[in-house]
Amino acid sequence: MAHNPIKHALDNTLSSLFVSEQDASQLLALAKGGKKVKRKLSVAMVLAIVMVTLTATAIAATLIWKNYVVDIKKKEQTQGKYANWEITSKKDLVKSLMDMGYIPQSEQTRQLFDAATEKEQQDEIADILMLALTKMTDTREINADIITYAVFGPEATWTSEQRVWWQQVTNLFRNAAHDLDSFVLAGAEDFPEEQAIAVAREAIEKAFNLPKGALDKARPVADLYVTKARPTYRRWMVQFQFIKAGTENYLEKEYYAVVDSKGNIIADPDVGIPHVDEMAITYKNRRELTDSTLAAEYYALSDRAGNPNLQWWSLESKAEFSRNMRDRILTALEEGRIDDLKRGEYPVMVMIAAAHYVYGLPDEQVISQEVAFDAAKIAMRERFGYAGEALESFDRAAIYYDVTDIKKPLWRFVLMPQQRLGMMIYRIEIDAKTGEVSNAEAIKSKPFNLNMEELPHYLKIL
Amino acid sequence: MEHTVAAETVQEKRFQTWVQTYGDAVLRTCFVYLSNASDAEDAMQDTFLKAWRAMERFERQGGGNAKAWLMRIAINVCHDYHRSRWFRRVDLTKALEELPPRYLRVEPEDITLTMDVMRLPEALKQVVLLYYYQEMTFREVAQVLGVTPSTVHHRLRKAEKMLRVSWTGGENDGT
Repeated sequence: MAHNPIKHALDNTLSSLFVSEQDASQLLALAKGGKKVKRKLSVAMVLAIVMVTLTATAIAATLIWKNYVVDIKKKEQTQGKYANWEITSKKDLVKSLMDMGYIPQSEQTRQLFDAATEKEQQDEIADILMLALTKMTDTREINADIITYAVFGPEATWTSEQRVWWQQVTNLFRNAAHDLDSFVLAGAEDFPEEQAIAVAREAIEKAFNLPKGALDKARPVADLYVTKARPTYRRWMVQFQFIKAGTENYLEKEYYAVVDSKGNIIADPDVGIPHVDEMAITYKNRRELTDSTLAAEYYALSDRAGNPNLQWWSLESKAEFSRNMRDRILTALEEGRIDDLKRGEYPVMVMIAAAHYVYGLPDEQVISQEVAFDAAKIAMRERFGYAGEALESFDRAAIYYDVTDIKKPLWRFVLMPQQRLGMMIYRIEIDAKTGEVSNAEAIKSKPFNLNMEELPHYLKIL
Repeated sequence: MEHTVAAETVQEKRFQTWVQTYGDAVLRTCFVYLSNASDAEDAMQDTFLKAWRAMERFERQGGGNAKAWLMRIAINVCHDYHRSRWFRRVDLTKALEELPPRYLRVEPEDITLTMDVMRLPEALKQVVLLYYYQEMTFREVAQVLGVTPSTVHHRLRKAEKMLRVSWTGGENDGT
């Protein structure tokens, strides 16, 4: 990749996340010790789980699993996930799930607990039973959480009690120092859940200008919560989740709103959730309103061309761009109307740069693209010393037929290496009438920057 | 006995090399995947502990591409975390704000692009992280994810469309 904006962006943005020498030494010590560093269970937290478990109104088996899953999670910390367990532990688990009624008795279970069955076969049977229960395809995917979902169903279908309990359980086994909110059970004094959902539904439909009933197909989920900053301030987080058809949990889209104890829609800075009206404005700004007309037209053309970047469009699409948009873009530039060339906050640099050229279509009077490309490859060898595999490392060339000077049409090939920012890009121009190399230059690739100061660079790579 | 000590030392050295070489990339990949620094640290730790445990098997099978192997473990670990975490919204801005202070100036468009990657659906995020961030080839990405190269290609194109970048050297067009 000549430019790798994603690597550049991630490394820059996440530069403060790194593994220090001390971390590395600690990791080795942990590896040799064979287990992971985890927070110890505090008595208070264990009590909290027991309290919630006791107040839950689920069936007996559910209660049993609720207790059992904590043991399974503890076991995972010392022995790893299910796939790594000894057969004795696997059998214990299957037996417990049978006792709770989640795995029915069968010929397979009989064989599993038959002392005459080989250990290897027992292992295989246990795996088959657990895969069937969890609907997984690989035993490595099985863990306490996955079994919990198999037993209780998708999280969003759980009762409030289950969700509060589960949050507490999961917090026990991971570093929850950054957790912002805690779910709590609703009492008689709280704003009712159903009303909170109704209030949120109305506010979201209004803010996002959705047709009445647009959220009917969504799965509403409401959680009453408090935060560390305001531990006594109880409010509802209401989500409307659109789940992909045929899946239980694949979230395609969601809307959410926070409802306070009096039934008002609020922003909650404690958890970084804005007011639903603000979210709607941001959404609209991002998706629709801030595209200038020209940018919107450019992206409509890119959709038709099948690629967001003009470099990879067909010669026909590039010619259409020049024919239909070029003059208006240049006029906007001359008049200093940069806002007319922006998408969101940033100018669409490729579009702007491309308007400086006139792209056309070759006729029968000029050499073919294939012949011109062969000439470009020869130039790469003769001028820059590339041949064989090294030349092949330029896996793709952006191709242009440039008729900016109608008397001297050019085939232009911009060759980009397969990877690494910082490598060179080569721009070879072939006279379309004579087949001679008109220009061959090497350009250092660089991270993208979306501002007008970068125009000279964009002009070089188009 | 001497032989055992020497073997352990070689194994430890190799492990340390892996952590030093790939640790940052694994940690950042996990962060982008999970949108939470604390979870990312846990996942990074899990990844290397699993690698340690499986190191002998990996070596027995010929060693091969350690980076691709580690990334497969990391992706699997993150996938597990992702499945098992509470089905809740994540405020990406807050997730980024809570990172330790940076010493480099970060352009707003870098933050925007990072958040856009973090917002991608899981399957697309995986290919973007492996192909773009880890700079793996189509074939390596396909091996890590256990899919065909054409599936990788298809997912990449879809992701690129959402991110408005080009996999062969394009620019972010200003989303």
